[in-house]
Amino acid sequence: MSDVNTIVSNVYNTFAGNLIAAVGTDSKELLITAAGFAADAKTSLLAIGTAALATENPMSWSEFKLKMIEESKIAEAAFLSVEQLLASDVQSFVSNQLASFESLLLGELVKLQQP
Amino acid sequence: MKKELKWAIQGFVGTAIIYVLIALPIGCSLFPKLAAPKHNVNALSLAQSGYTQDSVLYASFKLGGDLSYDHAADIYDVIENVIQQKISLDSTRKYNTQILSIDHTWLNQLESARADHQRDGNISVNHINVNGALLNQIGNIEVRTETNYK
Repeated sequence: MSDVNTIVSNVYNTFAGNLIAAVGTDSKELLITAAGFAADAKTSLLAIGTAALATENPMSWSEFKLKMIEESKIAEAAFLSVEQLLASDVQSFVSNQLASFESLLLGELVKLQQP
Repeated sequence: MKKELKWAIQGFVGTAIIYVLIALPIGCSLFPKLAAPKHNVNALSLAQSGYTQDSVLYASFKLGGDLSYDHAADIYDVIENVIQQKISLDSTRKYNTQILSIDHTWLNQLESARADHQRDGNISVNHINVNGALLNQIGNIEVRTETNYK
């Protein structure tokens, strides 16, 4: 029969493993998301720059300024999006880990009750 | 003999199904990535719909479609309607500050593109490229956020 230290240690090790794996997975997803946002921002900035410097029908200074302000608001939306993803991930992770922790602990307790 | 074999197979299959039914929910709670996605299906659908229509509108201009505002006005209205539906839905969700802010940025961007087009009559290549890129950017942010927003 396992002693209490072994049971707690096993449950903790599993929890820690899940935590590290989840943080690793989420970090990769966030990196991919951020790279996509950055690529879109580059496309927009190139389009604004090209339009401002076009020889035919160039953008006026006020139009250029307006589009750059719009671009900065979209960049802010990208930050808000990442913030939302992190908040959602943390909520999801905590609820999943609670279910996992409960399940692991119950499993160990059932083993203890067995003769 | 054949009848006994049939019963044995049926018993085996039945037991296997019961094991799978028991194991599935336990497995999903132990391995979160296997669990069903928790995003809001309606909100994601609206985000994808608006994003797709943005892309189709500007792709058609690039491919030489009718550049007049009269031709495109209805499509701007349709996209605006989708975004308004999403704002209405998001207003009822929990922890919605970020997503509502993104919705409003998307709506403002659409209105800015519409105003450019309406003023010019026929949209210019410059405006096709700039407004198409900006709408694509904010549309992608919307869809990506909804995909992960629990």
